[in-house]
Amino acid sequence: MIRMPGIIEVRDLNVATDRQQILSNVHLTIKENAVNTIVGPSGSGKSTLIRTFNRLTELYPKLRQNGQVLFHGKDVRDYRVISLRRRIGLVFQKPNPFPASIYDNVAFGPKLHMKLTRTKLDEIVHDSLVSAGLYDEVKHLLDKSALELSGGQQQRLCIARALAVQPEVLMMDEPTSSLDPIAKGKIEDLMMELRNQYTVVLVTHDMGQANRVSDSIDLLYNGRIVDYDKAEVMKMPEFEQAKHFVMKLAK
Amino acid sequence: MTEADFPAGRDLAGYESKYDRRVISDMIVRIIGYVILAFMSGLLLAIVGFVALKGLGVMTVKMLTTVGNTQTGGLANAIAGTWELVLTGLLLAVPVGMFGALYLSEYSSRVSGGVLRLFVDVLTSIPSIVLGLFGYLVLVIQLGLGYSLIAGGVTLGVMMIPYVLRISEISYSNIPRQTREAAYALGADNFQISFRLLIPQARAGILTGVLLAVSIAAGETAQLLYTALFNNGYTTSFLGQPVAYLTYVVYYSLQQNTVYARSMAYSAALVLVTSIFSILLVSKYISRIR
Ligand SMILES: Nc1ncnc2c1ncn2[C@@H]1O[C@H](COP(=O)(O)OP(=O)(O)OP(=O)(O)O)[C@@H](O)[C@H]1O
Ligand SMILES: [Mg+2]
Repeated sequence: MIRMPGIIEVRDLNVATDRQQILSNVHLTIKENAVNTIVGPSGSGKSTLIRTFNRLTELYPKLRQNGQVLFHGKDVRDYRVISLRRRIGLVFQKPNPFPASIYDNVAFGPKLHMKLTRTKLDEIVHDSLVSAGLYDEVKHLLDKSALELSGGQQQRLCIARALAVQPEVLMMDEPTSSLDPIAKGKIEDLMMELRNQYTVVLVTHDMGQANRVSDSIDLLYNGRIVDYDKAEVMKMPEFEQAKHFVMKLAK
Repeated sequence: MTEADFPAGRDLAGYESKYDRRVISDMIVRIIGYVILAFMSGLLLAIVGFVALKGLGVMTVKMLTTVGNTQTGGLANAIAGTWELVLTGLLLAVPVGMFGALYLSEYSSRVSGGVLRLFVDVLTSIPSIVLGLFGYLVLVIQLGLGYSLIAGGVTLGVMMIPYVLRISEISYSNIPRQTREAAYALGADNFQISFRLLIPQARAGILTGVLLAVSIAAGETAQLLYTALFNNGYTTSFLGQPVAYLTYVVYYSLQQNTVYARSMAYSAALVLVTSIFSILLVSKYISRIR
């Protein structure tokens, strides 16, 4: 009997440029209907790692990649990139709404993939904004420019925009790094709610957040996944700086 | 100013003299700025004032509404012909400029982009009389289009391409990378990114480029001398008829020795300057709001 794999499996993944090894021999399992968190210091390769899942790394021809990322057991490169990206959504580190109305931001994704009636589209926009916990704040201003929203509202709009195409996996790259504690709290509550319907991949610097919301935590350090449970690994000098992360991870 | 604003004692001298030098160099820069500004506004005022003075004195409603032949009659055919030529030029310049710019900013490789940019730059630097000659030899003679709206408009359009293209390119490349990535991450393909994100986002910039091209094209003469010729009446088809245009009236009627012909030239100049100014004002307004 083979072991039930995760919804995403990373196998011996290497990503490099001509000058720099960014990810080295990464193995990782993303479990379905859970909040899978990746932590690690700045520059350790977290964003690059999750961008290999939806092949966004292909927008940068300088990045060379080998090894495998499997989605439902099939290499991501064997999917049509369009359907792969619809099924694995990404919320970026910095809020990046389109310079358009709130409505058009959320409707952009669904309109790419389907011909929809106005009523159906209205319904998708409504449901996505509700799921992202933004609906009550913007229900009367759907025609307002997204750029006029606060940073926290913009980030929740980006979450709504990602949810609108009904992905299976929602990846969030430090979604709260530019937000105040209240906005942050709202997004953390949201992540725990979303795990019932979606698979969440969270990247964060924030150890407190990782401990609050995660079902599993992986530590990425210098492009490698570090097994922070193994004491002898942690004694190795090259992980000196990672200790700061690990101490806080220990429950 | 209180004592506390400056360090006390010996240091004070050095501090103040440095401060003075900065004030003086600041003042020199500002004076040079004012001189240039005064010179430019004087020049502009002189040209516009001259045209207005000469033009307004002889301008009548009849001048604007009747057909003329550069000696007698009015400017109506030349006004209509100018816009017909410019609009025909746009039919060529807008698609080529808009999509050429999209290709340059999004999809070109370093080599193909470099080559295209070089072509565009060379095109900008070709003297307009040479373009006119090219239009004459290739369009009028070789392709047998004759003196026509097509021949004149296309020759004018070739000259407009670089303006539309370069300004569109700037407005595409001003769209942040993160915005594009957001669209890619939702599963958009290149075609959808172009038509649903980039072109709508850049439309104010594209329009600014179009208006600039229009304002320059409306004032061109040399491309049209050998391709549009002139028409004593209205031009009603793309082929088979030459076309009247305002710059020709300015150029030709001014050389005539009747007072009326010269007043036609001044009126034509005034109509041109007023239209071009209005177009530029509109384009300034558009680039301000977006
Ligand atoms: N397209 C690229 N071209 C060249 N180098 C890159 C590229 N993308 C990432 N890198 C390099 O890879 C390393 C990891 O970057 P990455 O953005 O994945 O780190 P991160 O863990 O997300 O950091 P942060 O927490 O600051 O966001 C960095 O040294 C970065 O310079
Ligand atoms: Mg990052």
